[in-house]
Amino acid sequence: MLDTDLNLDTVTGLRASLRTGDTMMLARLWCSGWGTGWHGMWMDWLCSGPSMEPTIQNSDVVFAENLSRHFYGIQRGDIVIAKSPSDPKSNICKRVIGLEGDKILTNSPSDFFKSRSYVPTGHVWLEGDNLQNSTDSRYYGPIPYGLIRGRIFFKNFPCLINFHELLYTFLHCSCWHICTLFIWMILPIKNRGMVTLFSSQRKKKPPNER
Amino acid sequence: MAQSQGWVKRYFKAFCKGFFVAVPVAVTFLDRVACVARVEGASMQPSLNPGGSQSSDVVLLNHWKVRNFEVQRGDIVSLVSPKNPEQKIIKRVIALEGDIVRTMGHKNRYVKVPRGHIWVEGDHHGHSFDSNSFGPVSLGLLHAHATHILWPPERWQKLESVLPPERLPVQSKEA
Repeated sequence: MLDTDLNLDTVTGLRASLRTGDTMMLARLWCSGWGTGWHGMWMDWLCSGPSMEPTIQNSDVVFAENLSRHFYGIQRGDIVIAKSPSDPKSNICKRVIGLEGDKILTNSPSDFFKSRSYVPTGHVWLEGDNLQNSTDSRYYGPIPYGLIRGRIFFKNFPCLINFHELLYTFLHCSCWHICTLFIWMILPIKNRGMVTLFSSQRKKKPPNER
Repeated sequence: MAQSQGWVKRYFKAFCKGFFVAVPVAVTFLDRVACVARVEGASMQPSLNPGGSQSSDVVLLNHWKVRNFEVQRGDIVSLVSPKNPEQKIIKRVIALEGDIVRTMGHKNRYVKVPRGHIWVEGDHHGHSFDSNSFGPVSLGLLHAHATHILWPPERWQKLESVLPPERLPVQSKEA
């Protein structure tokens, strides 16, 4: 009984907030959602291109977390999203093959002799899984660590949905707004005499009603 | 007794509500719009830190201006050091992509700045760890544009985007 009361009151609270124009709070939450959480700590990416097959296929959606790069926890073998060294507005998705100080075998398919070089300090060596069809550090050299944006930790299942660019953009924006709106709805702003998260009414709820 | 406890509880709730909204908003602002930073080192003398270690300048760093990676020759910018990702360095932009620079102390006498890269140098040549040491830097490492000196008060000024005439690129892309 009290569960439904809580839901009704929260929705009434939402509508009451909209009436009184509680947009200031929504604006503040929008800012918080932007910097932290979605976009700040983790982000979803739509991958296109064949350079990471078979691990990541064309039009896969992956989720990358941004905390590892801040704590310098990127390891060899991680798949990372980084800013492209030749175009800062586009991003690349590759696997970390070598960290600073590692010895790397560098040879393009046309070279006969294999050459070795060391990854300089503050740089990483990236390679795509699909070596024949990947433009990576073998082409533009090691990239600075500061260009790494996040480490991929989760991939969706592409066989379920084939993501089109527009559909992805729509889902990306709505996920973020839905998260913000959800936080806005469950966070009591002004106590208008309704059930709040810390209210004593919840404590009085009899245990056999669960 | 019950009333004083109620007061503490209400205060605590209000504090939590304010805290969990104020902190992310502040973090977002400082990370995306603008922040201040103290400049250390002598690599940008005499523009910044002319007094050396006696008094460090505090500059206003504008992230918003570089959100699209648009910089001009002569801007003073802060960027993530390509040799040490934990460190930010503050230097002046000398050349943009496509320019040919005459280097000072680099292994090659002339360098063409590749696409998506810039050439940065400190004003105090010889005492600066800049592109003459590590080559052109990728624009993705750009952190902020230093626009004003905020402290000490006698050094309040807007930092101008001037390029020393002897450091003009040998050939620029528009030419």
